[in-house]
Amino acid sequence: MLSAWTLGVAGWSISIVSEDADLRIAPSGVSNRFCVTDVAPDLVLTVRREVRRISEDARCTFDSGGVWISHETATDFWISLRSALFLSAPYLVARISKNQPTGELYVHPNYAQGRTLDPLEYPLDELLFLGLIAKGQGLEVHAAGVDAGPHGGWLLLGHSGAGKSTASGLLIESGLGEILSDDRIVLRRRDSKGGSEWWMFGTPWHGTGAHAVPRGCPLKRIYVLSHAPVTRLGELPRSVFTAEIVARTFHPLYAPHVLAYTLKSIEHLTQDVPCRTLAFRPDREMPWVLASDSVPSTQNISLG
Amino acid sequence: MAADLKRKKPYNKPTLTQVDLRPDEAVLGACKTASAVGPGGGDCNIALGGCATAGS
Repeated sequence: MLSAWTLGVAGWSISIVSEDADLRIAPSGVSNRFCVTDVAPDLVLTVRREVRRISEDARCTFDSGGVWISHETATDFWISLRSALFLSAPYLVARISKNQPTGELYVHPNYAQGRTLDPLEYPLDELLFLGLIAKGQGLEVHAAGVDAGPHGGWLLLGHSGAGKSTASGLLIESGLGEILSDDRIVLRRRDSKGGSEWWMFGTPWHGTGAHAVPRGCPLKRIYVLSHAPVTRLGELPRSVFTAEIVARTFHPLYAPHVLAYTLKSIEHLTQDVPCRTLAFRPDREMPWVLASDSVPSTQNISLG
Repeated sequence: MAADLKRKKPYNKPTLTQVDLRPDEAVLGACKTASAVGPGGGDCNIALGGCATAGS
């Protein structure tokens, strides 16, 4: 029995294939919304039921201190997911070829036993897409994304607790737009009349508001969120905005050779898209403050 | 052109700005919320052993 599907995020795609008749796999939850067809995938992964340990000659490139750890050999990148329930070996291992857009996902037999498994379950899906996004000079940011129709796309950057999901809820109530995601947004440039422009895209990796829409819109404004007793917009030097965006960007830590692309993309982003701080009180006024933000679309203050 | 060369940029005193960085969120090593593991949903299986802190 062949199981196969392709997951697409912001124009990048990963295909999953399995020929193991005894291995039940399927995309889970919100990922189903992001399944695509008729695309040439950027990466094809074959799923195998197998206990897989990392070779001793593999070099550790990053240890998250949590679920995942990455290694590198001469020919491949490896990402292992580990759990206290599987002490002897990782419960999921991804091998990605350095030279081909292919690889394997090794699922520990005990992990797959008796249930339907999504081999691209979080955080592996996000880690793999991060590599594709960075190589493609895109960015994944910790942000809510709002398609505000005629106002354009608004990016609400924030760490946990900054108010991304709260702000998303207020914007929905106001009727000003649709939330593409309340936690993770992918940014990339697309060709347009007269050059290129930044677009933002929803992702499967949503927040507590569970907003995850598999489409994008042109990005017009970036806001760095914080709490305040009264909603107000603010300015910062471009250098500080750049640092704030770097701090809220997900970097491909297991592939440091593409980190330079990420930093360059952030530099272009702050050149191209107006940035503000948004200190907000969670009330009905906040969405209208954003809607009335009328700074010309080509300016960012550049004090340093 | 000489006039342009003579025109100096305004001087801005160097300042030090601290930016809040959340390494536990940045490395994707944690669950997304305190009440729901994985990306804000209940179907992520890293509840089997790996979650540490809220990350959404």
